[in-house]
Amino acid sequence: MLHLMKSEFIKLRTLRSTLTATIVLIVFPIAVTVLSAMFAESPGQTMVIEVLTNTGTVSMLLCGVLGVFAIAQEYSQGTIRITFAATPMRMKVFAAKAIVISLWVAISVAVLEGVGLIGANYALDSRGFDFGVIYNPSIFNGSARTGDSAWQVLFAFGAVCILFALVGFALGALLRSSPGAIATLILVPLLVEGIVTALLIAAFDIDISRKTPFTAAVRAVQVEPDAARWGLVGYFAIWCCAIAALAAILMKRRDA
Amino acid sequence: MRVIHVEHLTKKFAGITAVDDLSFTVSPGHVTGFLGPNGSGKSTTMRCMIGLDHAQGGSATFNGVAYSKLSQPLHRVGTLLDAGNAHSGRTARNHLMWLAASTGISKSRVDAVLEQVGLSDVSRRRVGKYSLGMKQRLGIASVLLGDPEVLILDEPVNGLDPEGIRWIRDLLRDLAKEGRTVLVSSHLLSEMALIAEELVVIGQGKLITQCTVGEFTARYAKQWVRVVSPQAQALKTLAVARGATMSEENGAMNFYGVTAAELGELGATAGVTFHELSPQTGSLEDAFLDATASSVQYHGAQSEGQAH
Repeated sequence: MLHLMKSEFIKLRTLRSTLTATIVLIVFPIAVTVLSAMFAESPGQTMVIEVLTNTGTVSMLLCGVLGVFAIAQEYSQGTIRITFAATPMRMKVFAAKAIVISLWVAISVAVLEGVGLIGANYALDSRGFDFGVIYNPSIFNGSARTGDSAWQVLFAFGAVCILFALVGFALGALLRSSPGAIATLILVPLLVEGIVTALLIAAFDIDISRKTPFTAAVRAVQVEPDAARWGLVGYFAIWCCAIAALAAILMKRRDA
Repeated sequence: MRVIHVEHLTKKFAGITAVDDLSFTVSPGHVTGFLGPNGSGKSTTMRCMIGLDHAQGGSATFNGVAYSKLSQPLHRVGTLLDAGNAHSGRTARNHLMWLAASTGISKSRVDAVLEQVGLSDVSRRRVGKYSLGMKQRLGIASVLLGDPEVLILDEPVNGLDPEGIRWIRDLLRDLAKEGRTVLVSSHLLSEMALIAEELVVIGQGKLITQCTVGEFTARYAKQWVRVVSPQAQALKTLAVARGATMSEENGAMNFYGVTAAELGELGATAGVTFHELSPQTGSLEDAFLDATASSVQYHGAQSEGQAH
C-alpha cells in the first residue's frame, strides 16, 4: 500500500495542473486574509477567521478540483490502464488515491491556515492590535452561541476541504471526465441545490434548505453556524461516503 | 509462469460479440504474432487477458494463474496496449517513476530502461512533445521496467521509423531467445513475417488458425510456378491438358495447379527450353487476406485493378 501511495504522490506532484491548483488554493485565502488584517478598520481574531474561511470557499472548490484531477485525468489520458495493469486490485488503487489526495489537501489547508494566521497576526501586531489566543473560546467572540474556539472553525474547515477533495475524486471516478466532474462539483453547490430547494418550496411547500449536503458543508465552516458544527460536517461526510462507495463499486465493475 | 493459455474467452459490448469463444496458447522462446483485420478483437482480447476489460466467459492464465491473481504483475507480465497511454503533461522519466514506485522498482532501473530504449537524453521532456515513435519507445520502456517473463504488445511498431522498427524487431527476438513469452499484434504483416515464428490469426473475434508462419503461408497463400520459355505456348497446351490454369506477366507465364517438377517433366517430353522454372509462394499479406477474407468488417472501396 505504501508503494501505491508513493506512486500516487508522484502522479500529483509531477503535473502542473495539480501544482497550480494547490498554489492557488493556498495563496488566495492567505492574501485576502493578510490584506484584510492590514487594512480593515476594526480587525480582530473573529474577522481574520471569517475572512480566511469565507475566501476559503474557493479553496474548498479547488480541493474538489484536485480530487477530480487525481482520477479523471487518468481516464482521459489513458494512464488508468497502466495503473490497473500494474495493480489489478482496483480497490487498493482507489484507497491509495483517496488517502493521498486527502493528505495532500490536509497539508495544503494546514499551510493555508498556518501561514494565513501568522501573516494576519503579524499584520495586526504591526498596527498595534492584539490577535489573542486562538484556542481560547472567550477571546473568539464569534462563538457566543456555540462556544467553539477558532480551532474548531479551522479544523472544521480542514475537514470540509478534505471531504470536498474526496467528493471530487468520487465524481471524477464516476464520470471519468475532468470537465464533467468539475462542472458537477461547482454547479451543484452554487446552483443546483438552490434551484432544487426553491422549486420544492414553490411546488410542494417542502423546505430542504437545511438538508442539502454542499450547503451543509459551507454552513459548517461559518464562525457562527446555525446548527451543530460537527453534525453538519458529519452530514456532508455521509453524502461524500455514499458517492465514494458508488464510485468504488463502479470502478471495480466497469471496463477500464 | 511463461505459458499463456486463453480458453474460450468471450467478450460482448452492448450485445455485440467482440471476442467469441477464443482459445489459443502462447509459448516461450519465440515471438508469437497476433493477427486479425481491424475490429477483429485483438486489442479487446489483450485487455481481457490482463483484466482491464471483464470477459463474459472463458479465461486467460499465465502458467495457470489469472492476471488479477499475480503478485507484482509488472515483474511477471509487461504490457503495451497503447503508446498514447501517458499523461502529455508529465515527463517521460516521471511517467516511469510513478509506475516504478507502484511496485517498488528502483530509480536506477528507470534510468536503465530509458537508456535501453534510447530516451535518456529526452527523458525530462514532457510526453506531449514526443513523436509517436518516441511514445512507442516510452511504452516499451514501461514494459521492460519490471524485467517481465511475458510481454504483450499491441501494435508496437506503429509510428516507428525504419531504424526504430529494426530496433524493436531485434529487441523482441532477443527477449524471446532469452526464453520469454512474447505476444505481438501488428497490422504490418511484412514486419510480422520478420519478427514472428508463430501466428495466432483471428477474425470477428474467432480463432481462424494458430500455426507457424511457414504453415500459415503454405496453407493460405497462393502457390504457382513461374516459367520463362521461348516455347511457352507448347508448354501451355500440355499444362492445360493436365488441368492447370495460367496467367501472363511481363513475358513470363504463371502456372497454377501444377508443380514445378510436373512442368519440368512435361517440358522435357516436348523438348521445351526453360529460361526460368521457379516455384512461387504468395506473401504473408496475401495469405492473411485470403484467411481473413470472410472476417473483414470494414472494407475500403476496391480499385478496378484490385477487383480482378
